[in-house]
Amino acid sequence: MTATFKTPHFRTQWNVDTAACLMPRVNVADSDTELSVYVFLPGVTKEDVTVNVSDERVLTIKGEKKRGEQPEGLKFQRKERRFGAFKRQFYLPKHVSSENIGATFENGVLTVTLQKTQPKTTTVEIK
Amino acid sequence: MNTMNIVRFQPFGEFDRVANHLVRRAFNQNFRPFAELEHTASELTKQVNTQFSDIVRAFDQNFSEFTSKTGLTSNRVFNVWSDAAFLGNSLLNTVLNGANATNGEFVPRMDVTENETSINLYVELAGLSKDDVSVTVSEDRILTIKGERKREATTEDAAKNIIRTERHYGTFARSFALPEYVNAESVSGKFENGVLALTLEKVEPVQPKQIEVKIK
Repeated sequence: MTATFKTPHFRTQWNVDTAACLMPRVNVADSDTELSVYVFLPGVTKEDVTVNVSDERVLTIKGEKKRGEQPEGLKFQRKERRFGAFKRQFYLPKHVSSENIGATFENGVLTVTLQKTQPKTTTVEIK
Repeated sequence: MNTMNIVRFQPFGEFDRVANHLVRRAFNQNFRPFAELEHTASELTKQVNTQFSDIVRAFDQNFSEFTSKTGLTSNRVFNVWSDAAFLGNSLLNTVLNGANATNGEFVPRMDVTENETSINLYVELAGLSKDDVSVTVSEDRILTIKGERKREATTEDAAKNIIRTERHYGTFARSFALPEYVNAESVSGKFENGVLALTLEKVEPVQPKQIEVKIK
């Protein structure tokens, strides 16, 4: 099960903080009927995120985290937050449908819900 | 957490020369607001690249834990190098695990900006609601932001099968000594898109009164 939710380009959780573009942290939880992907995007608005699935069944979550207006004369006492473009990509596991994908955005958390499909087995009659 | 004042004067306590110098520096022109726990770290910040900011943040956090656990007087806070060995182990954890992984705590990232009328704090707390965070200002003007990040409300089945988890969960706390030119009673905050924004109003600093002592 753990092997089925790999990230393309060999990006793993270990270089989340050092990647060239922002890599928001992601949790994936599995239930009987669906797979939930939680992407943590504090300070990002709903309009600045896109979620899509390509023909090769790659789920892409990308967008931009904008710093917003900065009035003149603003001094920074502390600068720990990071801004800029972000992107995460995942291969969808076989037992997940690439249709009927639901997404909600609340309190800076994007939740993508993927429906599971029943594995189809066709029995061949032997004549 | 209450013992984290930047400099707690002991009446008529005598400082050694080094400490005295640092205390004067902290109180005079070099006093930087929101620098209390990173006071020692700030020197490091200049040298250390931004990509090591996590390490610097670990210093913040560890100083707070260190002082609060042992109840040491704050003079000790200035002594980086003796404490550095003590911190070594948890720093290593920090480098390996991304954020401060000791005691199940994490350090939320934050920006602090200052303009002519106010100081604004922006704390990244994705997935938390207003009720999960508490912001307090203590009598000795220490602003504390603390709370707990809980796991997402998932079904029992889902909770059992977590495929990938990159997020840190648990309690967090960050504290700052408020500079004198901030009205400690004016703290207001709002929560939007997982970012807690706090506004502190600035006030005119009170000029110290000079009292003449007559010698008879």
